[in-house]
Amino acid sequence: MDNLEIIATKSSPEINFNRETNILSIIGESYPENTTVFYEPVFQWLETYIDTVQDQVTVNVELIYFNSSSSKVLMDLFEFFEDHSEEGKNIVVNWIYDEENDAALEYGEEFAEDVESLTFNLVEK
Amino acid sequence: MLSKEELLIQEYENFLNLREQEGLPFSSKEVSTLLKAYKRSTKQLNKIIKISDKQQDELKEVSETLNAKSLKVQSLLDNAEQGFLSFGDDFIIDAEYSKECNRLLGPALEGKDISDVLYLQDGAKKHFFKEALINVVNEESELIKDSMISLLPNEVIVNRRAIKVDYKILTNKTFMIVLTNITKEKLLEKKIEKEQEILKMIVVIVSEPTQFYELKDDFERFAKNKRVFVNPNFSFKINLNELYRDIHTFKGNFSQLRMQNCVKELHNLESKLSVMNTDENCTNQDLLDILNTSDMNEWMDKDLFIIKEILGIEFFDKQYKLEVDDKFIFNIEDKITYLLQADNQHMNTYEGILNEINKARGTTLNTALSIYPKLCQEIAKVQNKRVSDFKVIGGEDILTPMHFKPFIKSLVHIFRNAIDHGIEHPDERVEIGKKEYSSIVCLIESNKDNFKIIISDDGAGINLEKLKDKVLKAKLFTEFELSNMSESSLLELVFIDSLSTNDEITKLSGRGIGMGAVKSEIEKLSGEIKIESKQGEGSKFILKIPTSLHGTLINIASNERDNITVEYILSPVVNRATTYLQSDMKINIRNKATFSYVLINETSIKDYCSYIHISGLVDVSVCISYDQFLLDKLLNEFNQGYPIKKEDLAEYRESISKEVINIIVGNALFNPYDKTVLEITTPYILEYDELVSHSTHHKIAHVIIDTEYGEMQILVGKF
Repeated sequence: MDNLEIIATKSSPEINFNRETNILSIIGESYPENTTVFYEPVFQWLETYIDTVQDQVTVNVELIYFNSSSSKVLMDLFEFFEDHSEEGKNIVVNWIYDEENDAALEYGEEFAEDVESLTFNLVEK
Repeated sequence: MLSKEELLIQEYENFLNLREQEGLPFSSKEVSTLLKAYKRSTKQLNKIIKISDKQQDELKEVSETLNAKSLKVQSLLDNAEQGFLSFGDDFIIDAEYSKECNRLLGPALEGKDISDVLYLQDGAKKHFFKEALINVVNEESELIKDSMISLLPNEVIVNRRAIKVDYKILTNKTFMIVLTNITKEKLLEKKIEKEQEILKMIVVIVSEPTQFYELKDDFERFAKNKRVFVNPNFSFKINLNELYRDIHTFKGNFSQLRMQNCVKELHNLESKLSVMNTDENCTNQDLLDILNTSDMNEWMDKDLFIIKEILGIEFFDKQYKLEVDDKFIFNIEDKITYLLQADNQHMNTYEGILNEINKARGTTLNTALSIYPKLCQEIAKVQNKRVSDFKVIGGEDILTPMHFKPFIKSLVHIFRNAIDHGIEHPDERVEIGKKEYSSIVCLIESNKDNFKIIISDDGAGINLEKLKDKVLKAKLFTEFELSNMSESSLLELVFIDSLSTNDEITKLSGRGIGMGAVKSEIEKLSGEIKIESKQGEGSKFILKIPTSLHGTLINIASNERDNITVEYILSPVVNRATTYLQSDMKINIRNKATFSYVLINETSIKDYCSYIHISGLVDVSVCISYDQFLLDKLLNEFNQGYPIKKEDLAEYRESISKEVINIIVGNALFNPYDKTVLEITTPYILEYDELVSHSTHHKIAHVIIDTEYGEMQILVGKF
């Protein structure tokens, strides 16, 4: 299985899921024209990946701007990790935000509310 | 593609259909799953709405700040007294620009073409501007882009305002320009420049007052007597050329003194004359008309007014004194000269006095030329060229006789040409491996026969190809003739009036007049000029002037006492006689004129001689006598070959002898500027015996011109 690498565009983030290091990063802005289509391969990759992984998985999310459908994707994503961590996977999510950006911190807090077994860190850049 | 929720809904709709068909309700497990999904969905929806609200709040806040900021920026820009506007690669001005743009470029700029606004009617400039910007857009290297931008025009004049333009590239295809009204600065700059010019003029005039007074007088006389310059006996072309040359030299001299207003007027006249030169229908009358409509008397007024303002009227009073001094010294000198000849015992004392007077009165050749190094620096500065400081070398022991002055003045053309045409710009020099600072050398060498002024530069040399082109264009020689010319003959072509290798006419040179003036002045002194030039290496002008005629009077160290009459009378007469015989009468001269002092009773006067008496500044007579064969040759020329009856011959010879002396002395000494200095009688015939009995035992100056038809003898002295 290959790593997942999607180059950033003006409206979509850079996706870099590395199965050797088990670091999965999403960096940039997210308001693609069709959010579901854009993130579908991401979920597909994760479905395959999550079954094989044994070690700790680190998910770094650093989004400067995302639209409403992207926030739904994020919730789905965190739920996905939450489900698997309930099943015993060791998963850490780092919500990375800029010191200046109060709103980003608040969004992170909103997302953090919904998870229990998943480690959800709010990390100041 | 369907989302998780949609898939679930679809599944339950299927269930619902199935249950309806079966007539069974949902099981509690099914309802619980549905509820769970519904709950999850609601939760997600609320969260999304919450986040979205937050985002909208944030957006609103940002947009408010942005609005406020943009208003602030707009007001800053509007009050910045600079115009800011942007336009795309279609050159159409964007809607957002600052108010100053309206003030500078006019109302309603949005949608207009920037090049139309900046350059109004000037199509060529518009084109250049657009082309340059398109090149900038297409250039990829940032470095080249920046340097291209620096080449864009950075000053424009719109509605008589001077506007400074700065360019910025906003995005790949958007430019911003910043406009600054620099009209005031420009005006101030101009005013300062003007004041600096005036200051320079004053400095030059104060440090070279003699030159100023002389030029002022010369020009006043010229303006008063301007009509004299149109000689009805000469063709229009000859008169035009003479006048042109005089005007050009005046212009050069005034520009040396920085009398800019006068230079401007002379430049205009020169332009008018040069138009006439190409008009075949012009006559002497047209020339007179142009002169009559030119108020030359007033041309100096502006500059003189400024000088008077600054230096006071007393400055002009000093001039009057100087003139008196000059004549005063003149008289003393003349008297001492005669005392010296009569009283041999105190010869050394007299000579000492004379030398002192000479030093006070005259300038040495070195001093006379020393104005040029300074001038060279000034011209070079104007043209952004660099010349190493230099001094005139030699000539400290050579006094400059009065009649050398026009010659010295004409040298201005050589120096100007060296800088205008010869010396390259510093960049160019460095590129071809030369020193940034060019060198000009002015060297004076003298021996007992002659002295030489050598002026050389290490510039580009004379461009022979360009010169040939000009000659061909002016139809002066055919291509065939040119191809057969030696290099030195080709170089001689620079002396042709109205020929210059510089394509651009500057105020200073480029009209091709100049080198002709130098040649004609040096020929008046029986001298010669030679040019050596090597393309790329420089030019050298060697001016050689014989001292056989001037020598006794110019060498301070010499024991031979100079005689004022020789300087003022004999030299010009001999020069004129030589030219007359050679050029007008086509008689070859076999040997150079020989000069000596003689006692009248020790010399033999030839058979045919006539006299002219000159009074005023001096009091001497000139006598010209001829070998009969030479006189008859002259007679024959005059009579155009018609035979003369034997009985009339004596009468004819007498009258031709008078005629020739009249022409020679008249032309040599006639000063159109000032008729008061010398008065010349009509010629008369005197027998030898009568002459000897009249004459004192003074030594007289004696010159023999040896021609192919016999000798001409010229005597000058008191007899």
